[in-house]
Amino acid sequence: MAEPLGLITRGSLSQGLQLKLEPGCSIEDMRVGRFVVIEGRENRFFCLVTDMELGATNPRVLLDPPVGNRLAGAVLDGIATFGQVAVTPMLMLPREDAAAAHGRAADIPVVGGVTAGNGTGPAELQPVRTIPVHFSPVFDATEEDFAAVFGREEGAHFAVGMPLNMEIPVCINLERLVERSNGVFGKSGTGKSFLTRLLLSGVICADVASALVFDMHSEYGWETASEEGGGAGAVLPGLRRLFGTRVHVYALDRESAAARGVQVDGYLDIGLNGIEIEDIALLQEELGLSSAMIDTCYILQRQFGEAWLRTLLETEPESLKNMAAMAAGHEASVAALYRKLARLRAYAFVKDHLALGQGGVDEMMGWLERGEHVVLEFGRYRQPLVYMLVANIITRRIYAAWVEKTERYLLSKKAADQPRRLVLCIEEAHKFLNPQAARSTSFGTIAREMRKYNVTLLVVDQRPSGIDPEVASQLGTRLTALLTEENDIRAVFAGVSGGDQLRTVLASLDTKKQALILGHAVPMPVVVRVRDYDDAFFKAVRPAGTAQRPGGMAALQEAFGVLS
Amino acid sequence: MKVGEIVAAATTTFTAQSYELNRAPAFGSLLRVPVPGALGHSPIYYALCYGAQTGAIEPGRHAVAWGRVDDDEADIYRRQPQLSQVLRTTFDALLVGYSDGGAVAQRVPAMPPRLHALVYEATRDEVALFNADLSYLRFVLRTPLPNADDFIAATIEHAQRAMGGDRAFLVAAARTVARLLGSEHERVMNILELLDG
Repeated sequence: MAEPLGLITRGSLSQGLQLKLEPGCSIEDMRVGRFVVIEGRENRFFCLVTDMELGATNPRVLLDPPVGNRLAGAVLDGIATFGQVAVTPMLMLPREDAAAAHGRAADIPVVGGVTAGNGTGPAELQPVRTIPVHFSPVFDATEEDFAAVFGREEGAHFAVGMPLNMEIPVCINLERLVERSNGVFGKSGTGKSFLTRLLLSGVICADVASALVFDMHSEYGWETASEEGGGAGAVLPGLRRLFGTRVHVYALDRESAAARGVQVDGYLDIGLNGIEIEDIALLQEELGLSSAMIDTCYILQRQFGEAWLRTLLETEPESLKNMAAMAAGHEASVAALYRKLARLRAYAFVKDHLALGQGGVDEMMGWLERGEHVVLEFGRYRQPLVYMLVANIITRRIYAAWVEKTERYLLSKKAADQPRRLVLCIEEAHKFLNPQAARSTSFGTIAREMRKYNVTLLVVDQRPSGIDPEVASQLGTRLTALLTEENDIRAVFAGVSGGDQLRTVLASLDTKKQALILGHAVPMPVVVRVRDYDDAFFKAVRPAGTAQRPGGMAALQEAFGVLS
Repeated sequence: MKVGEIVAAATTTFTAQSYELNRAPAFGSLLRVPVPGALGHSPIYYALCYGAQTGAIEPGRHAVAWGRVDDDEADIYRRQPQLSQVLRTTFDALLVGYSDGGAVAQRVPAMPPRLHALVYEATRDEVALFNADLSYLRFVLRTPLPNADDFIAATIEHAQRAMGGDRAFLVAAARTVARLLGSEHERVMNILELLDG
């Protein structure tokens, strides 16, 4: 029978509860973020430790601290001086038998012995509507408590890590995760990529959605350098190596992929005719375009039609004046536009013209529709400019396709027509989802609406304050590593009730390998030590006996039946 | 060990005369007074010695110095053999509980002890058993006594010694005192200083 950590002495529903630590418990053993359980008379309350303070019954003991006396330390602890810990209840579980519990509460009951419905779990949990009686004992959560709240590791329940002070798995519900858009946040170097890789592995392993990863640093697809020891050149496998041919790697940069020896399933090209004004508008800041220049684009498009961009970029600089005159546009704007957009043509993957079905986007979408996964590597093209351009183009296509599919499904109501759930993973999200961009681009639309169409975002970012607040409040689940900027912390908790109390928890995370998870996919906020991306993990997620199908072109042939 | 005979008794205190001049039970020690009773049960009263004094038996008389310049103390008593007849040592005790054959009850007994009842030092086992429950300290702290803080400290130390120097007991007793004295921080610190030394 466990000893209580302390007894609830004061508090309120709105401000949280306070417990006075038992004399045997040192306040230094307490950590913010620890999961504790209050055994109330009729309910069990699952809480997080959110703050702590030192108290004294008599101010005189503070004016004249008993430092010389060896006995005083042991004697006064808990009597004249005491530790007070603030806990915030997150969930409530009514006891099966309130009468029996009353007797048990009187003599400090065994924790975990009572779960309503024998651990059928979240269905019985309630939001907190009341508070425990005075002097209710508080205990550390046990394995049964974690299982009751977060579920056991099976099916769509995926273990993301372990609690601060125990060696048991904490699970998130992957099905609930992909129902909404989500965010992975943290300062640079705090392990966002590892956390993202974990989530993607979980999604792929449990097959709850198809994932499309816009891999800016080429670290998700094939392999990535290990940050731990293991000597120089130690690498960790990417999603392709873990999950075999269910994951298709596409490269934007052929040379880089070849140099790194990546097994690529295809290459991505975009044509100038595939770039729309919306894409260019997204790049306003990157390219330094004024709104006058964007207007000029529309003018040019009206004049020259679909191929306006190619026409513009193929014009000789001297002839720009004429072009401007033809389109009744401002000459200086046209010239500036030409200069800035000429960069695009310089990229190897930008072709003057691509017919429908060419370039690789349709292939990628094909895999996603079939329930498989795609990682798009950017190779050397990791500048925000390219990243945003390509990601937006592809996303726009996906948006259109999935809306169409959903509408067809709504008409036919046949299960086979239901479009496959899709997760788009993007990094540096604050560039795509800042207040200006969020309004006008596909990303903003997706973040706001697309869960109706089964498309959600997984945004990875170190500056959540840069994300449009409306979009941020729509994020279902937030997984946050350490953040120190006040703005960023506030942004993470936008749209979350009780965010105030969790701030201290967030600021107290370790710089690596710890995260706070809150939102739709977990019944209550929880602090975890992130699971290691190691051999044990690989063994756990790799499906037994992955069928080794031929990769690359041969796989395409097999899938589509024709040579493209 | 028999230490004296009761010569004055009241509800919460009694005074006993020591059988040996100049000797008395230790300040703070636990004493037992068996009470012969009817119907085969014999309760035992427990008391704590809180003071002792030596002086003339006759009230009003004072002890005077008998020694010469080069006498030892033993010489004085040898030369004045009447001293052991006219002087006496008495000690005072605070009643803190009783046992009626079974468990110890830490309350004031219903009747004071009888005159001429015999007083014994409590055995180590009795001390240990009595101190299993520390609620008697509440009564002791509330009773106005001379040298109250020293008395409490002595009582606790005596009990600790009888229990083989158990530090956990010392801490538990000190905590009980601290809790009972609550806001009287100076008294608590005073007692802790005495116990720590």
